[in-house]
Amino acid sequence: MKIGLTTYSLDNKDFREQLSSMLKNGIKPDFIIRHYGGIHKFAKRINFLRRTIKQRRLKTISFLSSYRKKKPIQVTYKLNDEDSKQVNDFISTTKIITVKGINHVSTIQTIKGLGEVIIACNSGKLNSEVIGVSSAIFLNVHASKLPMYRGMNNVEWALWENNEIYCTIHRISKGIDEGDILLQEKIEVDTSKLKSISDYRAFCFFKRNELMGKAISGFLDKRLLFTKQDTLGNPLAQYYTMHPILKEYLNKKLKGN
Amino acid sequence: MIRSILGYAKNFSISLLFTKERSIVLKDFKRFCLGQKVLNNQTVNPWSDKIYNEEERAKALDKAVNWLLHSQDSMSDAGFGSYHIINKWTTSYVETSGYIVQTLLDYARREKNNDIIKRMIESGDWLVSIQKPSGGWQGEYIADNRAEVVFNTGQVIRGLLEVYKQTNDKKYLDSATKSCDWLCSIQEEEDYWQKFAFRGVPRVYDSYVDAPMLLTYQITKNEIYKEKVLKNLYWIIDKKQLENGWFEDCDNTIKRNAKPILHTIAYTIDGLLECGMILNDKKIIDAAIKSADKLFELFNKHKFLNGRYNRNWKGSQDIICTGCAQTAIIWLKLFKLTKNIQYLNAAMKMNDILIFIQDRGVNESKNTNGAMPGSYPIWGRYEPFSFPNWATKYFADSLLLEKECLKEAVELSK
Repeated sequence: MKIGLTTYSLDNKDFREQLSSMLKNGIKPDFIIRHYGGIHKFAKRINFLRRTIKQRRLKTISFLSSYRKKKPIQVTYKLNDEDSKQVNDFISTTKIITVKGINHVSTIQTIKGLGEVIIACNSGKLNSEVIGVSSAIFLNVHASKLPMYRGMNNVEWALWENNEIYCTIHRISKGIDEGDILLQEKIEVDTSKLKSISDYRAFCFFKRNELMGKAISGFLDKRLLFTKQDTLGNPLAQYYTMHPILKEYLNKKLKGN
Repeated sequence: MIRSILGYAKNFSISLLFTKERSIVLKDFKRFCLGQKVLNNQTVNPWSDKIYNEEERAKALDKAVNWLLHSQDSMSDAGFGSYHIINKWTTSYVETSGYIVQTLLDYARREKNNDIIKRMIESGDWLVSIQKPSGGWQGEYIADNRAEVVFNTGQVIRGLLEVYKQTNDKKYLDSATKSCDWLCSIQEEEDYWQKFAFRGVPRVYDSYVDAPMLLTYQITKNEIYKEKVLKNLYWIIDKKQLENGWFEDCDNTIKRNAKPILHTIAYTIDGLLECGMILNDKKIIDAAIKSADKLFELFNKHKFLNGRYNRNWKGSQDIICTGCAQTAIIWLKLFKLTKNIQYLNAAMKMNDILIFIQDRGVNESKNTNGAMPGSYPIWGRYEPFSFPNWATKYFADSLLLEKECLKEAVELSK
């Protein structure tokens, strides 16, 4: 079975960490699919920039701007030099397939041509045509104890509700974070080092990415099997972007105020 | 159709040429028509990047309350009217004056504002003074001098019970009791109200009449009130609610009954929820949750709610501000009931949209400053070019309840 990863940039942090985790577990992906968002993605970024400038000028979210100014130095979690070098060396020798967009027709044809594959994703929302490509298994890593906290801001919601943070490797399906679960593990958090939402996110996402290699290795050895999730289709099982006021209170709580 | 086009042409031309409120219409044109963009095949709404902090929310609430008080000052009696850009102030709307009293008393108690309390007692006296001999209250504006209407009567009871709670003066309770007796006497054998119903047709939003009747039952312990309420509620749930949570016979028109407005859908859900919570009846609460969750799902998917929904929950028409505020209130009540933070999160996002609509950023007179329009944009089909007092009332209610829920959520999270 062939194994591959998708990413829109070879410098993407999540992609590099997931690739490193695979290499550490003795899995050498056969290919990397690099997809560009195209003009839409560019336009989206320009629009985001435009809106941010406008918001700052009008001071409609002045409290957020002030939060940004006062933001403490973030505890960074990233690959060490050795792991980073290993990733760079691997990328320089592996097959890179460039496609127009992850949901583009050319991508479907490319994946079809690859035969039976496992694809670890870091690519945004996939449409059902891509997911339905014959015999391809798409995996996603999600920082929560699925089926809890499907959707957005999962780390924040778990912290708000004083729950432990888990991460889950699951199959991508039509519903958001509703696919069968391959591996689920608790993230041990050192609360003395983490004092803000961004600290927690950086730490949890780093730990989350480390799990990908273990999950794929377990699946290939048939030690891990997919299990179904419950509460499918329940709108309240899915979590949405946390309101900035709630985020502000959560940050205060994490700082111990 | 032709009449509608002519009406719009007249409203647009008069409001732009001859009224001081032209800046409001132009502002809505600018931010609605020019502020909407399509990026990556997705519509970016003009409010999508608007977030208001707690201070701005408190200011929005104060502005809304001040406008309601100005509305009262503009009347020749102690009731509350609405403002139309072209036709100017209406006379007092009896029904909404009833439930505005409830809102302003709530606000006054929190802010310890005795002046507002005094004014609301005067409103209570005025409502008692205009009660019909039957026990009911008239429909629509006081100047129309219409016959009593079931729904409108229910809403006046809400205000009177609040004034009774404030003053302990039995005359308000007696007035509410008299109207409940009348409501019981005219309920049909089929468990709905048809005689004295708006347009003479049975409607499910009378669940919002059941709730004040139950509140009266809580004080008087008159079992007949509870019996009639339960009958009506079960008629709504068993006969009129579809499996997907949508309600039949939910619109306040006959022509558009297949696509009821969010305003009356929200009345129905809120009435069911309030009654279910008073009675601690799981079946009634679940019926309310079923519909509220559907709106929750639609809101999170589209980032706003349409003005009307058909039986498949397919939305149409522009934003109806009242319905949006009422939906936020329902979610906030559900947060209090279930402690599910997602309800509060959605309600806060909805209130961001409503504050964006209220915060027009133009120089306005007291007649419109702080008021919530009927629709967004202001020329939307529901109450076009108008600031109905009930839209501002529910907006204020929503902000008041949000503040309370946020405090509770922060405590729960500790």
